[in-house]
Parts: sequence; structure tokens; C-alpha cells
Amino acid sequence: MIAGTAIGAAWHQLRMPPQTPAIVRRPFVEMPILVERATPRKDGDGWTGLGWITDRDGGLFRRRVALSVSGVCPAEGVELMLSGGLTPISGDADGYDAWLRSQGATLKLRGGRVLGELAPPSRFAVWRQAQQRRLDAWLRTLPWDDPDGGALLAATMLGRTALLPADAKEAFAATGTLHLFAISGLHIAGMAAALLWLAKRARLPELPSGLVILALLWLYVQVTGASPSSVRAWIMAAFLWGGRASDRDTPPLQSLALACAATLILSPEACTDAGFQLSYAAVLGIIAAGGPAANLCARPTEEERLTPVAAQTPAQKLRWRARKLLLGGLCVSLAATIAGVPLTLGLFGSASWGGVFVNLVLVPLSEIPLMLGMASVACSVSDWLAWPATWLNGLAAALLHLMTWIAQGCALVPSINLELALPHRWLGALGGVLLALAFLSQAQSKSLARLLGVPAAALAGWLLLVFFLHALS
Amino acid sequence: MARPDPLEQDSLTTDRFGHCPALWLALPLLLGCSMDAATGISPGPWLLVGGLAAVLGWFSDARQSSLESQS
Repeated sequence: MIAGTAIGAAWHQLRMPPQTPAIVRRPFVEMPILVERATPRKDGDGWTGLGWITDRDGGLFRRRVALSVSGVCPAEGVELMLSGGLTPISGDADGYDAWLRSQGATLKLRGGRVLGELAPPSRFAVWRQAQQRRLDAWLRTLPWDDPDGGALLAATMLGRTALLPADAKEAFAATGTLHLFAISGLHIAGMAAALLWLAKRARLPELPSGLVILALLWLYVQVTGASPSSVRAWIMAAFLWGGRASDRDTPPLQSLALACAATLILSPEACTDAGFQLSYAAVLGIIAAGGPAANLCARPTEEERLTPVAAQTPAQKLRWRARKLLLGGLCVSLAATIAGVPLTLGLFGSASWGGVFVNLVLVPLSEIPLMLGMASVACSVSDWLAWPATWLNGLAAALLHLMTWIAQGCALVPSINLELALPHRWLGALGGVLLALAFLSQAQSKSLARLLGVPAAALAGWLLLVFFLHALS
Repeated sequence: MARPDPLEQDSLTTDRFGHCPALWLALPLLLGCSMDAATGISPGPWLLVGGLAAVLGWFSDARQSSLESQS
């Protein structure tokens, strides 16, 4: 354990760009930068992203820079000569700068201009960017004029919350349902299930069709920007499918741990990323407590067991099924919410307890526009299918408007969002670790009270500590 | 999670961690990466501690198995 921890720390140190405070001698600079991530601005005026300095002689070699540049958004992996105003990001920064620090950036380049291209991006990066633009435009095409509906669908399918209309984003964030617009298990599992069903209907051989489906899902993950939650979901899907294909038992917790290890080996700096932390915490909560608790709740009641099948009325069956769905969904939602509270409070200063209930409605509902959007994406292979695709987009956008309306209604409930600035930054991480241990310590319990009670008690204890330290400070 | 032995009362033991051995890879890695992100110590000391811990672990494991084979 000690050896693994120390080697993990050394690996992180070797892979991370320098984190010591940067000394900027001249505020206006011209320097070569390799672009790691680039996203066009919502208003279409320029782009923002992350890159690292490739100039070996300037004293800032390998430092990661947050970029804000005018002009056309380039493909990732391109090396550009950029000019602009360079400023350091302080270690104790708040808000957006704190997020930049969590991505390993120690510098900001503002008012950037591209002076020239030093090395081209890979063909795959160019293809990926072209597909992203094409899909964005394709999903925004509706039979009627509805820019907000198109933006909602593009955000859902491409996992870009930045595309959401401001009021919708605020409502989803306040109700703890913004995760619906991040590519995650919901998207990957839904797509995998639909593709596997199609492969089965077409009587395709299991092994090659499984590999093709995994490859298609990997392309989708890449086109949508390979966010930590989408990479996690894809790796888990690959391990689960690999286990099933080779007749080996692959528990979900094992797949989650393997996905975590693979991500940290490939990209150790991911451990400080908010998306990585929230994604793994929520899925750990669901696997270790939410899912088993939902199974316990789904056990037949005494009335159900004692009623012969022939004597069961349709109303009874409907009531029992609704009870199972409601209680099961509540357990999963509660576990995911508990797991995320310390992290969301630490990262954003707010956590939505209302998410426990709003997710019950919006998560199942979100699967419908997701499936419609997926069908529309499948239609994008040929321009001949543009007409049915616009109607699929229209239907999906209408449902997304309904979801936004529900979220906005729920966001009006007073105090649905717990606003609390943590007195110390380390408290968020401490709470995350505490809850992870609480979930793991009773992962195989058969008691509902222990499965959800132990993490809830750990969260309550952590909140008491936070309030105590808050009062002291 | 699946239990390899259905008769076993509690398989969440330290040696197998509930039949989820990948946790022994993921948790130290995550802990190490987080510790380094918080402290920012250069890789030399980390590698030294890691190497020493690995050698000590190997020696103690080898000693234990030789004692078990003798008895």
C-alpha cells in the first residue's frame, strides 16, 4: 500500500506540469504553445482552451497555460506561435482561476492572437473537430425555429454544458441535475444497450459486434471531448463486456477500480479534476450502496408473496411495480447525492439536496431525448436522412424543454440548494475520502439501514465538523 | 459484488477486499496522486519511500512464506 502510494505520487509529480509559482518578467509575450484543449466561445468570437509552453529556453517550459485567443478554433494537438498578455494564476485563487489551477494551469494568456502554425494537428484530431462541428449543426436543425431547443439537444448529445441557455443551466445546477448534460454512464449504457439490441436483432456474431460497438462508443467519447465521466463509463463498459465475453465475473466495483487505475496511469493529473472526482464519487455511491439498497427495496412485500399469481389484479401489479421503481430510484439518487455533497460544497460552494427527488423524475425522462438524439446522430451518416432527423431533433428538443420547465419549477422551492462556503479547502477532500471509506466499509452489507445509514451518518458528522469550523473562523 | 465463496460470512477481508483486487491498485494510486497534488514534493523522495516499502514488503513476505514452509 505504501509502495503503491509513493509510486503513484512520483508518477503524478513526473507527469504534472510545473506547479511552483510562475515568474512572468514581461507581461506581453510571443511564445510557442501546444494546444491540448480548444473550445469555441459560445458567442463565436474566438476560443478558449489549455496548452503547454514548448519553448525550452524561456524558463516557462512545460508550464500549462489557460488560453483565451481570437480567431478560428484550432484542432487539438496543433502547435501555435501565440502572442498576448501573460499573467500568473495564484495558488489560492477562487472561482474560475481555482478550476484552472485544478487543471494544472499556472499561467493565463489573455487577448491572444495566432501568429503562425508551428506543427499541424494529427489527422484524427482534425477529423474529431470536424465531426463535432457537423454534429453540433446537425442536432440544432429542427423543423421549427427554436435555437434554445437545438442548444439543449446539442448540449445533451455532445456533453457540453456551455451550450445550454443560461436560465436552463442555472435551473439544472440548482436542482442537482446538471450531470444529465455530461457524457456519462447514462449515455454510454443507453447507447450500448441500443446497439447490442440492434446487433442481436440482426443476428450478428456476438464477439465481433461487441468489439465494433465498443469502437463506435470510443469514437463517440472522443468526438464529445473525452471528459473524465465519459472515459470512465467507456472503460467500465469495456471491462464489463470483456468479462462477459470471456465468461469471467466482473463486479461493477472491480470495473470502477480498473477504470480509475487506468485513467490515473494514463493521466495522473485527472485526480484534481472536478469532473473526475464527482463522477467516481457518485458511481462509487451507486455501486456500493445505491444499487444494493435498491435491490433490497425491490424484494416482494408480504402481501405480494402471499398473493397467488392468478389472484393478482392489474392494479396490484402496477402498485408493486411503481413501489419498486420509486424506492429503487430513491435509493440510487440518495446514494449519489450523499457521495457528491462534500465535493460539490468544496468545489462550487453549493449542494442540492433537492436533487434526490428531482433526479427521480428527470433521469428516466432524459433517456427519451437521449435515444431520439442518438437516432438523429445515426441518421447523420447520410444527408438523405436529414428530414427524419430534424423531426427526431424536434421531438427531443420538446422533451428537453419539458425537462427544463420541471427543473425551473423545482428550482423555485425555497432552500433547495444548500449554499455553504467551506472555511478550509481541504475539508471538501476530507469529506470525499470519509464518504468513500463509509461506502466501501459496508459495501457487502445486507442491511438497508447500514447501506445508506453509514454514509449518511458520515456525511452528518462531516457537516457538523464544517459548521463547527465555520463558527470558529 | 459477487462472492467467490457463498458460504463465507464476510468476504470483505483485507487480503481480498471483497473480491475486488483492482481496488488495491486504484486506491494507492489515487491516494499518491492526491498527496502529491497537495504537497508537490519532488519525485526523488517518493520513489525512495516507494522502493524501500516495496523491498521491505517483499522481504517480509519471503520470510513469512519460508517460516510457513518450515513449520
